[in-house]
Amino acid sequence: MRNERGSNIRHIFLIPLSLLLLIPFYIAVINAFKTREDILANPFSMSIGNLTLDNFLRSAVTPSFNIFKAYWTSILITSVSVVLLILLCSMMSFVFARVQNRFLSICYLLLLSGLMIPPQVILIPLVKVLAKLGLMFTPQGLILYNIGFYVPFTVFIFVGFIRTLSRELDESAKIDGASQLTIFWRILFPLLRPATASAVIFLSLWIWNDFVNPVIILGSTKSYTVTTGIFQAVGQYSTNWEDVFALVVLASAPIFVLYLFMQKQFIAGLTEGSLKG
Amino acid sequence: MRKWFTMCMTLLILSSLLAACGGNSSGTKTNDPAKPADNGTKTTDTKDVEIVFQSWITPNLTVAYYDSLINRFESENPGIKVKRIQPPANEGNPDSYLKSLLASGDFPDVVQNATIQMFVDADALLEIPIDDDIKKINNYEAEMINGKLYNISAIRQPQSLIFYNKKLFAEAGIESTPKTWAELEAAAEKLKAKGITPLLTAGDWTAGFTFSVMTSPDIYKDNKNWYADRFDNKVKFTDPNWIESATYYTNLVKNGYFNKGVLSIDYTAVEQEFLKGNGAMYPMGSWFSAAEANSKKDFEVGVFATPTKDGTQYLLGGENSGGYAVAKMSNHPEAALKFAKFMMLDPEAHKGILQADALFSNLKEPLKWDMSPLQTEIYELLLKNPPMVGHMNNKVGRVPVSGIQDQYNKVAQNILLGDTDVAKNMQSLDEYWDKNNK
Amino acid sequence: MNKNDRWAYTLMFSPGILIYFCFLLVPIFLLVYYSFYNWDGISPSYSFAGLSNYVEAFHDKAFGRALFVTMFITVVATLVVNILGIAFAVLLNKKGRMTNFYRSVFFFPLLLSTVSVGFIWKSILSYNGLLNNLIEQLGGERIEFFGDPNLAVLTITFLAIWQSTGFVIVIYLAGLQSIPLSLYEAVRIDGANRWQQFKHITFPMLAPAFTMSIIFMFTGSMREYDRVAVLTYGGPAGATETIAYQVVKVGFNANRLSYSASLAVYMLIIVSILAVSLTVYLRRREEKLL
Repeated sequence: MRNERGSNIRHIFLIPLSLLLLIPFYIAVINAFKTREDILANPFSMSIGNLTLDNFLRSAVTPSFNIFKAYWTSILITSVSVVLLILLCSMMSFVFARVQNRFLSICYLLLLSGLMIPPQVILIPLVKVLAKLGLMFTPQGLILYNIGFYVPFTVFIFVGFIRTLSRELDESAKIDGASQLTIFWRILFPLLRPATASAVIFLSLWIWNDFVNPVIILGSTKSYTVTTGIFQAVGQYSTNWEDVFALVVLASAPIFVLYLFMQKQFIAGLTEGSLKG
Repeated sequence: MRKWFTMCMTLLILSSLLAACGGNSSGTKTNDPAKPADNGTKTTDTKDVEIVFQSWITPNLTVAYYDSLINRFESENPGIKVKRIQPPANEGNPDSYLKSLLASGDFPDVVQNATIQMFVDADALLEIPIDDDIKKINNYEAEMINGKLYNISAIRQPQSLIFYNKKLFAEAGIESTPKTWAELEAAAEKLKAKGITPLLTAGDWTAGFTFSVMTSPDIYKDNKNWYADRFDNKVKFTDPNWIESATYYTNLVKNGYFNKGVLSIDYTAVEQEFLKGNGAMYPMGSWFSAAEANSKKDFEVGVFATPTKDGTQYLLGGENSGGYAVAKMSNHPEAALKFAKFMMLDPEAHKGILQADALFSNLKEPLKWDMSPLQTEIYELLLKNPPMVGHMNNKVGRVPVSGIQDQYNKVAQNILLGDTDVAKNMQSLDEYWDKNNK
Repeated sequence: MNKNDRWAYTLMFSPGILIYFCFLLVPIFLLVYYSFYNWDGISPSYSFAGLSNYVEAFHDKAFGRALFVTMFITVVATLVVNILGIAFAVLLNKKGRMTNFYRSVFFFPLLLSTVSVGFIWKSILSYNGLLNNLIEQLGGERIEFFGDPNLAVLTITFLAIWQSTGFVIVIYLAGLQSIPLSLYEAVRIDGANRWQQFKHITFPMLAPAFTMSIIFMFTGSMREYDRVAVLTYGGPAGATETIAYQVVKVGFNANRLSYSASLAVYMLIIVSILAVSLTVYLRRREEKLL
């Protein structure tokens, strides 16, 4: 009974708050479907009769920008980076969580320093390193940089979760003669599902939305990602708000879809975890 | 033992990674080092030469403008392909972007609107031979650095202009446009008495720009090498002439002549305010006239040069500045030079860039374009004007220390915030100069 | 630890740390190296400058101001975001359609790129933006969200909170799932009310999530750059310049890459000391509580 009443009270508070939080998205989405005159005259109205798809049709494929090509590059970069990050960092975190020695403590501190550096600050040195290794202007270079940059974040997510898992799990498996690799992949990794799901969501959206690094690392003569391509196509001084809004919606749509899709997995993972506890 | 394992694994993985990635990338590099720049020769006919062009996009210079010119250039010059790129961020110039490209060795063959001095210092630009094409340009020596030319530009871009709303001026009973500081103050007072906002500016770069165009003409009309002299410590921002000029500007702010909420709006917003009739005077560069020509409104816009103390007209702005430059390391310098010349000197392209950005031809035989009445007014102002020098971050005898426009912004924003200590504000410009003059 | 274990651990650990080393640590080391020279970031040659950049940075008033602004944003945003994060996570730790809806709404701000965020909020908060139009219609005075130096810092802080709360909620929600339900049953038998349950079980058991959120928020806010770059350009009159913004500005606009590198190194040192002490403290706290 008490629970019931508690959850009803929370709606009174949460519904208005949610609507308030949705206003900025409403503005972006609704204006993408309006004509320029309509945006300038009444930016916040929704007159169903006047809505148009022209903005999308006009801006999706132009001589200098092709959204499908851009989607492909973005999907490639994002998915390869995220998959590798999850594989490499979950294993690293297992070592951090289960072994303690001075070498690892130092590594852990070095990882912390990676959380503190703003990416814009190391742009020029990074470009030098990539150029030396022959990785400039290649998707590989961008992927490796993405991995390097997000290792600290991913490791901290996983270490936190692995610490909460009982050591008895791996010790009992060990008695059965399993190697550390097997223990990790067979027993622990499936239990990390909530952590993996949140890491995938965060990493995907950060890498997808990244703006400066793809422009610089992919360079001038090669491919472009959705986020960079769109701003290249629109141009920064542009006041064609109708195109800007349409492209913002096109650029963000896949990541919203991914989120809504992952959210199901994510919640399933969460509830499973709680039942086991 | 443990350390050995770690080391071996590390090396193994590193080498395999590099082999994989390096192998891929070397195959996709566009320029073949084995083949030097031999464009034009018949043997390479089968393979097109590709040059990379960094374009500068504005609301007026659109992607479509460049793409149509590139198409025509490519059809007139078979064998040359142009790949257009543009900077990612709105920073006022493409310099940061070009710096990263330079660091990575991916400097474009043709660049536009870059700070020429900086890239000359970095040894990145090709010296442009003074041939018959270049000699078509009036005063082409204006932008030379140590007697060498690095950019192709044939434009005049007046910046120290004040656009005014003729209807509001008539309402306030102002009959002639102000020429002196005193006249401007009197006009502003009349407008204010009628409940009209006399002057408009914005809180972003517009603030520093407005401050600079309102104050600098009075200084530079008497000294066209002011920045060069500042490098030699012959003059300072705290000299009496600057203090007097800055005091005049501070008083305009103190008397409440500028729009309310000025620091909370930006350039695009203030332009709309003026076009909606929400202010009488709008100090801005000639490019505003292009936006004016495309707008619908119920009043006429006029223009006058920003006043000086004694009423002498002296416009500031760009004289053959910006334009196109060619990379020294270009693999196809001839094709790149050809393209750069085409973009500035081809009659169609020249007219296009003039009209799009409301610039004025600086060719010995100037090209006329289809000017609006307001643009004709600017053209007439220019006819009487001697060659212009820059202001703020542009050349006045010499290019000032990098990033000085940021300090101009801070000074202007401080004044708008109500800080009336003129001496302290101007001293901060001197301090910035000395600190960053490295 | 036997030999096989060592092999396995090395195999699991090396690739990640290696990529991190090459593509993040080496650039950071290069940055430290540049800070001892006088390089503008572009010229082919440069000279050794010793500690002069560091001495200059030490007396740089603008840097001091930026440090203060950054600390302010960091402390306020970290505290508020974590309080909101725990509160909403507890509220949203239930099944149901509405819960999914709320979770998504809180998470949405994170899905947008900063440029989109900048544009949307400018149209709402600028002097002639939507909110000010509304305020005026209701008979109030227009508010200078970006024009008043103090308010501008608060606006940036507010947007940082708006964009980060969803992130922290996710971490706490995941943390809540690892709390065994049996613990609650035990205290419920003792007649503990909801607040007591939260105080004695939920909050202590959230310790690892708490550590993680605090550290991410702290380090994330200390490098605040994007929102400033998109919304205020550091203005008015430098009031909203954060350290990261200043480092980029000095390095790229004023063409003093080496000097900006020394600012970045100071920043790294300050943030490292604070972050490491925070981590150590929070880890100890975890050990005590779990």
